[in-house]
Amino acid sequence: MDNKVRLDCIVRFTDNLRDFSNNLLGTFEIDNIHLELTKGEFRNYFNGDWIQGSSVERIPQFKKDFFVNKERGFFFLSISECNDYEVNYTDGSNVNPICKVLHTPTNSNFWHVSLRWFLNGQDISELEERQRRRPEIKRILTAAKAFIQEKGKFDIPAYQSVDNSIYM
Amino acid sequence: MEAIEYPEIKINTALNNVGIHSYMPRWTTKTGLVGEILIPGTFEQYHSTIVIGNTYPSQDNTTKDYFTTLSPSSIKASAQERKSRKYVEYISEFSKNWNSKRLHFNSFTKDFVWDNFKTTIDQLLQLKPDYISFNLTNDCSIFFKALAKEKNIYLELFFDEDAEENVETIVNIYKDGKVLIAYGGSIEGTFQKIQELFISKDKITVSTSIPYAISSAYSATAEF
Repeated sequence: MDNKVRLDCIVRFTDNLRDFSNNLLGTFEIDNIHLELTKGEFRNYFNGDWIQGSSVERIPQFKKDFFVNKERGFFFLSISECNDYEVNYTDGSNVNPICKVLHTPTNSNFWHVSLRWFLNGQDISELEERQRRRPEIKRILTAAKAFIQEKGKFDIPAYQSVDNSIYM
Repeated sequence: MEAIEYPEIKINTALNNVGIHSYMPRWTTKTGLVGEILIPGTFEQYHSTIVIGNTYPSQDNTTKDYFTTLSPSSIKASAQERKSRKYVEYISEFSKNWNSKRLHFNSFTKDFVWDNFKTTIDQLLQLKPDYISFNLTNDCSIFFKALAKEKNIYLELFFDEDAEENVETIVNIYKDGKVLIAYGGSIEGTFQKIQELFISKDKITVSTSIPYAISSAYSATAEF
C-alpha cells in the first residue's frame, strides 16, 4: 500500500506510546538492534534506568543475558522531526501535546532514548493508570500513533556519533 | 453454442443486474454482451463480470478474446459492487479481529462496536479512499488508516462509558508529513470537519511546524 510502518506494529504498542523506546544511532549501530535480552534473572536490572554516575553492576553476557535475534524489525525516526513536534487540536479541547526525545539510558544501553508526550508541561508517561482514560490522553495517543506512522522510515539515514565531549 | 445455466452467478437486482462471481470463466449472455472490470486492491485476483440486460448468463468456454461493453450505468454499478465487496472484506476482518480482542472492549457488545465501526467505514468510503485499514486495539478502540486524495487519515474510535453516546472519535489528517487537522468529538461531528477539509481544500492551513533545532544527522531506531 505504502512504504510506511505497518499499522499493527504500532497499534499493539498503544500502551508503550506514552514512553516509546528508541536507540540513538551513532555508537549504537543498526546491527545492535538484533541484540535482545533473555528472560534471565538480570533482565529487570538491564532494563532498569541507569542512575547517572552509578557503576553498572553487571556487563551483559552473550547467551546468558542476551542473544542475537535477526528477526527483529526496525524503522528510523529523525530526532529533528520528533523533538518539539506539536499537534494542535482544534476541537475546543485545548489539547496541544508536544513530543520530546529524552535520553533515558538503561543499565544495558546507554544509548536508549524515549519519545515522550507532554501536555501543559506534564509528561503523560508519569500519569497514574486511572488518569489515562481522560479525553485529552486519548487525543495524545491517537496523535502518537499517527505521528509514528507518518514519520517512521525504512531507508537507512545518514547518522553520526554524539561527540564524546558532550557526555564523557 | 448451447446456453448453459450457471447457478453460481447471482444476479443482484439491487445493484442493477450486476453479476458477481469470484473466479475466471469467460462469460457471455444470450445477447452476447459481456463486460469485465478488474477490481483493484486486495481483490486483484478476482474479476467481476457485469451482465448487461436481463438475459440470464451462459458460459462460453470457447471464447478467448472477448469484448467489453460498459455503459455509464454499468460503471456506476461496478463501483457499487466494489464497495459491496469491500464491505465483505471489512466484515470478515472485523469478525476475525473481534474474537481475539473482545476482552479489551469491556462491556461493549459486538453489535454496538460493529454499528459504530460500520458508520465509520461508511463515512470513510464517502471520501473515496484508495484504501482503508484498521486494527482493534487493546485500549478499547479501533484505529483506522485511510488514504484519500493524497491525505493520510488516522482515525481512532474510542469506546468509553464516560463519553457522549459511549463513543469518541479522534482524527489526525496528514499531507506531505504535516498535520492538516487534529480533531475529536462525535462520529458525525468529526466527519463533518473531515468533509469540510476535503471540500475546501484551498483553505487548508498547516497547524504544525517542524523545528529543526537538533542535527538531523542524529537518528533513532524504534524496535518492533
